Amino acid sequence: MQEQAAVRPSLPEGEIHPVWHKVKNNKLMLAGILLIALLLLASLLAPLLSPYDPTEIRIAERFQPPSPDHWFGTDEVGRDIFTRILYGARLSLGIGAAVVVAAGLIGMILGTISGYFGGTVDQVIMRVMDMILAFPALILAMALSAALGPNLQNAMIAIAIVKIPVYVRLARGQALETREMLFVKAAKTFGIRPWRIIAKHIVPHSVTAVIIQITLDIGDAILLVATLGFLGLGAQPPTPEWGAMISVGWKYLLDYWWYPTFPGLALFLASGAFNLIGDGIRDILDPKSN
Amino acid sequence: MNPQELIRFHRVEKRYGPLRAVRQADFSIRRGEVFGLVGESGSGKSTIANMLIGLTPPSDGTISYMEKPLWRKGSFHMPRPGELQIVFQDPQSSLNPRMTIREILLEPLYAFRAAERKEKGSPERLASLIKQVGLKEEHLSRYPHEFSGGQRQRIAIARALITDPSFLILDEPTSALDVSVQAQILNLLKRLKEERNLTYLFISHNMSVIRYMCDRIAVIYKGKIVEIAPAAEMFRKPGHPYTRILLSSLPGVYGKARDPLSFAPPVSEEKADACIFYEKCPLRRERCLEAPAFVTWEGDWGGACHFRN
Amino acid sequence: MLLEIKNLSVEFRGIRGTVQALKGISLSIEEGEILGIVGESGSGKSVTALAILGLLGKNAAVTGGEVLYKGRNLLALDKKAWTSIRGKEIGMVFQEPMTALHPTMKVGRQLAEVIRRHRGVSRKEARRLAVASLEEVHIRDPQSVAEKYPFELSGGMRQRVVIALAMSSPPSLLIADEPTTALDVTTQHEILKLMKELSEKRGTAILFITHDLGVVAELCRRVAVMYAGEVVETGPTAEVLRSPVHPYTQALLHALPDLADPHEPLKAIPGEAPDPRARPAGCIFAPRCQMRITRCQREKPSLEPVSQNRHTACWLAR
Repeated sequence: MQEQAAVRPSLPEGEIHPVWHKVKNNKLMLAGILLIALLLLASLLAPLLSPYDPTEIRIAERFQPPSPDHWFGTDEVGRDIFTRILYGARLSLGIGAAVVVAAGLIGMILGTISGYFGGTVDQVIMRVMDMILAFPALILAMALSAALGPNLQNAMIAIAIVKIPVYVRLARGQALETREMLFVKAAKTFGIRPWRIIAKHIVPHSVTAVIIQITLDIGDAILLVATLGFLGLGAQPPTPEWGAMISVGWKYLLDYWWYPTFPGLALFLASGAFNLIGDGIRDILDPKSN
Repeated sequence: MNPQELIRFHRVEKRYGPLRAVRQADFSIRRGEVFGLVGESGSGKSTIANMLIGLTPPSDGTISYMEKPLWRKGSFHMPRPGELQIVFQDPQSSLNPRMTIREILLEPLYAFRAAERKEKGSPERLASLIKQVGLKEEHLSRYPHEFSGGQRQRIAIARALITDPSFLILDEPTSALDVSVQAQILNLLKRLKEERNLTYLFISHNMSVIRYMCDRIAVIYKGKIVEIAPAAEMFRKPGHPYTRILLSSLPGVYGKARDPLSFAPPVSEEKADACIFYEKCPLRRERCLEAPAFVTWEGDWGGACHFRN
Repeated sequence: MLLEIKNLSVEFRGIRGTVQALKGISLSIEEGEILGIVGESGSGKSVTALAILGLLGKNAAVTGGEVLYKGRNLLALDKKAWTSIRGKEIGMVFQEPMTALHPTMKVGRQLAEVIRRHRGVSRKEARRLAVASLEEVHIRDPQSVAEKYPFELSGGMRQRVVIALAMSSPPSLLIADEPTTALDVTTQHEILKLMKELSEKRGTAILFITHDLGVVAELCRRVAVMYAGEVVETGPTAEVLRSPVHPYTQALLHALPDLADPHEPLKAIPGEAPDPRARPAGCIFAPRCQMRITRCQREKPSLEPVSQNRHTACWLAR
């Protein structure tokens, strides 16, 4: 029996993984990653970085401009804005991620089922998704959270619902493509159960696309949460959520400029950073950018 | 019924709307033989494989395995999981790139109950199987992309054997491989057949490979089987005009075929009840407007052509 | 000498290292002759075609040698100079016809445009010539086919159209890279006959690249056998196939099922082709050669003549 020793190794010794190579070269993307890392760290270390309590009211210190005591100034009841922004980061980042991951998971499951089985199941799911997509995202989110009751949990549910169709479409497209592949046909000939085929073959092939979409969507989700908060439909005072802070603070833009400005800046940086990361991921995966 | 008959196709039809992909397929495969199915693109040969392995149901007719129909009320039942297995043409896409070789080999066993699965999928059996196809035990923890096309095809063959099948469909198993690798794989297939007492349905468009591998050969044209013959006879003196044209078209490494024949200029109108080959047959006559029946000419040899009948 | 490749070496550079695709290959084609290049995957036969046509990608580097076409070194040409050569003097036909055909333009119009560009005739005349060239490639009912889109045609017909396009100038050299591999054997047979006919009629030389020894036997007067980026044997096809000199050619012929005894195992070539990133020292085929001697593993044999018009790269063949 002849030798079959020649097997190509995964990577030649001592070579960088090509994806990491491309990441290193994309400066903007690195900046985005750095920014988010900093924000995350700051939000987690909030108790260490600031001696203040985000909800503690000190009327005597209201509307103080930025100073060594209050780096970003204080709001209308004397709360330290820097502290509120740090704790607000926890909310924004955490909720943004949670909502998008939830939408991604649910959407992936629905989309995979829809794409793999086709037929009536597919039609029903897709028509429901069409209904959701018929509305502009913000309008629908507003309507849903107003209907459910204006608080942070319901805002999260509303945003998740609005985001689900994208993932359903994505996962369905992947499922349609993957189910035609020869290894799936082979699996069908073994006589194993359909759910096994879906779990082992179809789902893993859509996970990458879903993860990428999630990363791209987090920035948008953060903005949506803030917008709902701004409109009074999401986080309610005294929760230190950036959008809620701006909703109170915008009135004071001319007199106490720091009040809405810093939360606004934080929003801009957070969602902008995620957008840079998303662009970077897209560039990496685009074969033409080689 | 012939106890030697393992598979029987009885008047099998497959229609996709108005298109008849397989027409009145009627043949049997005997235990222990290598039955070849040769045809060009669109001939329906892969459809026959798909029906036999449960991927698509026949529109009409019966396909039986050891006298029992495989399709009952639109669903496919093998007498025992993994009794029939298939090896596909493309070694690139027939293995899931995200699974290790071990996982790939074990997958067919999930149609069995846990106890039997553990037994058939034991580390000893896996090790023995991977070596039988010419690979090494350490390859079990690797991924498909680390292997060449020929090696991947070996893995696909091992996967097909893990359930201890009696019957294997080989759908163009070497068409995507280089000549030197093809030789290795064909040798492997022959050896495995002897060692395990297998029966093969060998599908190909490559006449040289078919001649080398097969005991009996069926030629299929536009969904209809036009000739079935023992390999040596078919190559020595092909009966059906289409078979003759196929053999004449072969680029011979060592010279040309005797009695070469080519397609005739096609007739424009569709003749509904005519011989399937009427449109391009260089020997067509008026008789051929009436489709010839498939008739046994001599012993194991038969076909559908007025001039031979 | 129409085309002469002298000692051509090509490398591909990527993140994962450098791959030697061609190592010092030398070939020549006379005017009007049909030369076959036969090899398995990884032999470098397609890279050779791309190198001649100046179509190597950005990560490819020519590290030595020349490609002389009618005396000019094609490797030194700039983009502008290529426009008068590629498609005009040197035509090309690839495996997949759709890489050469515009998917949403009628076939007749595509042909007519190319004819106009090459021969500077009027639009009306070009259309007439387009239909005539469809007839020349044995397409039945050329008038109505000219009005069809590529997707309406079968694979064989598309390839005929591509051949018509390639032959419209007419070129002095046609490079065909596996043009019939994706076609049915009966269609392949017709296309090969057609190419032979056109070559004789127009005096066009053909460089025909394939993995199929049978095709080479049918069409090519001379053949060059390639293995792992090198030319290992050249000579008149009939002679090379009847009495191959290089062990690789011999092994390849023995591995064919064409004349093998069905009761005997095929004589497979042990092992696999070398990893393109880690070429062995000495003869490239030595690791798999049944007849190797010590010299083969240490010194690389060059392509030398063994008789008047046959060359081989093997220490044992001299």
